[in-house]
Amino acid sequence: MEQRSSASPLRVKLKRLRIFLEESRENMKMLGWIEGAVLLGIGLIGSAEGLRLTQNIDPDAISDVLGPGYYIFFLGLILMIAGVTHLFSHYRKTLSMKKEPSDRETGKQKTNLTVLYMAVVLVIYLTIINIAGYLVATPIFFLLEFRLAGVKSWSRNVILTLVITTAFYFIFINYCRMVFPPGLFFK
Amino acid sequence: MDLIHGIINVFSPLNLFYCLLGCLFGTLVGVLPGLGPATTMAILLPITMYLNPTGSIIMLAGIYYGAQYGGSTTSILVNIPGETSSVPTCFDGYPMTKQGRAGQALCIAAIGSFIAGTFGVLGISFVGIGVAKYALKFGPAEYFALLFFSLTALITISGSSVIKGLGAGVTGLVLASMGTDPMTGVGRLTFGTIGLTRGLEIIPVAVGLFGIGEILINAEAGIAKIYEGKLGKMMPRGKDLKKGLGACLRGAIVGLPLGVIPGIAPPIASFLAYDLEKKISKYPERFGSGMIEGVAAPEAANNATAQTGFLPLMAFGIPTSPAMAIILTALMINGLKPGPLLFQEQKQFIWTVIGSMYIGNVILLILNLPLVGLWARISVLPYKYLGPVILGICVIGAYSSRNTMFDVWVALGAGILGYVMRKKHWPMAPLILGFVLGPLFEEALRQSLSIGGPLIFFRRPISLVLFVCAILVVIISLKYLRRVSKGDDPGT
Repeated sequence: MEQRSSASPLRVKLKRLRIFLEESRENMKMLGWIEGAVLLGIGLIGSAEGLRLTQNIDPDAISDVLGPGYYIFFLGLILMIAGVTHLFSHYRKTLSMKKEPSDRETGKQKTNLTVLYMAVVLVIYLTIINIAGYLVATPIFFLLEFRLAGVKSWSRNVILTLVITTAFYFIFINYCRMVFPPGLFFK
Repeated sequence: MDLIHGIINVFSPLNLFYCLLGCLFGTLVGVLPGLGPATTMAILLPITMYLNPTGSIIMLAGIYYGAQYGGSTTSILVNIPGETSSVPTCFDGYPMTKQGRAGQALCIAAIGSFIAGTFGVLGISFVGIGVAKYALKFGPAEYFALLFFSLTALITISGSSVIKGLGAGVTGLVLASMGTDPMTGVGRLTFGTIGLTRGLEIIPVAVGLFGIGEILINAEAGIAKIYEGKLGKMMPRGKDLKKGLGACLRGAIVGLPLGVIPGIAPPIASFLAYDLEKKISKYPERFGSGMIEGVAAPEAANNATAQTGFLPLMAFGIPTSPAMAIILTALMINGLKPGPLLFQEQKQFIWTVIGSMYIGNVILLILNLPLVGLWARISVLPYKYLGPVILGICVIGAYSSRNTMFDVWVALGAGILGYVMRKKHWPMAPLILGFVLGPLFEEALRQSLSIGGPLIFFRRPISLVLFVCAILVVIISLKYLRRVSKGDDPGT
């Protein structure tokens, strides 16, 4: 004898939503939600700023009809609408999509980590340049970046780093007379 | 007479050197997969501050149209398009190589690019001044309508999703409004930071989006097989030459008017030209197996579009693509305001730049044919050596605009944004153009509303026509252009 489902429509919907969210995460489709959320977020910030400016500014100081606030308020509004639309269209697209192998399964994640490491090295470089100075931080930066980019031989890496750093010094500092951060130890 | 004086000026040693340098860089950039003309121009933009205005624009322009020439080399020889605009060239170019006709494919691609490029420059020479005179009638309402049309076209044509285009474009406008409001002096979106009070500079944003973003993406690129076969006969003959030349002319006719429309970057024109050639051919089923028309038409179209893209920039000050936006930035850095007054107040400069495009086309023809073997070998230079060097140049470039580390952080942020946008197929052209045109857009809007309220846009005929054109572009784009394969953002 067939058993009747006693689950209410709301429970069924919630269950489908939970399964859908789990599948989205597994399929790395979470990014679609993040994209929409980012658009919504920027829109909210823009609109909030626009509202703040329209309310707090002295009307006599504004020489034009729009002022500095309304323009950015409406841009924020458009972004919020775009964000909501993107979220909605992503939801509909994901419902009809089959499960695809995740990036981990296809081996793509390894490559993304290299890119991540290169970005991290860049962040470290920009952080230490003010402390150690351009001439110390730059060779370290190139050593690490060449290694991450695939130059496996350390001797070749060191030679390349020295050549490039020297070339940069002569072109940008000596010839173009650009002034880079000297660091705390060099003045 | 102005044009002749302009061409004579190009033959000065310095200008000729910059023209040659631009063409050389452009061909190199076109040949190297993963490095687009907009990226290279963004990276070299800070260096242009140290050059004279004429030289810097000649060089940047040479990079842009030179890349269209160079992109065909690797498409034909190793089936890897150097530029997005050279993707259709692979379809028939590589099969021609496998048939031992690589030389003919390269030759007709270069000839097609030269013919179309020359037509494009002729168009700018004779139409540009008339358009510029007409542009003098433009007031704030007309400018706003033109900017609105440009951004709308770009948003709907770039990329595969209108919502993504809209999001990118409006985000660009929002980023452009950060800083101090020029009319009232109040801070907007500064979050209390001194760095943001001065707003975001275009150089770090461009260098980050196109330079750092591109390097991060290309850290994943592989190495192609070096082409080791013979090129065969260089010059096509008889029927092949006739068919090739016919396709060149048709490709040029397709590409020339498309270049003035914002959002129609060379890749779109090359796909449309290839499609057209296939449709009108007696043997459409043979396309994809080595038809010379399949190489000639897209190469001619992409070059024609690249050249005529300068027309709206010079006449109105409106860039139609990210590469043009970078040239606009270079013009502004050098204190030159593009637009109708440029043709009147800076005659020597403008005609020298236009004259350099004639000479540049000849230089590119010379560079591309005899040196094709060299370019083929350079095209497989491992990215592991190039990438970190370009990253270093990007950091310096971002720093050089205001000598502050804040700009370098902005470049890094833009680079990460550019990387994510490319990975997730968000179009970059609306973002960068929204950012570059944002101040003009806001100024024109606020001035128009102050003069005549919202109805001013409908009372002035030019403005009304442009708004109608914007709506038509949206409809046409949604109905027809979605069929054209886009892949990554064609704007780079």
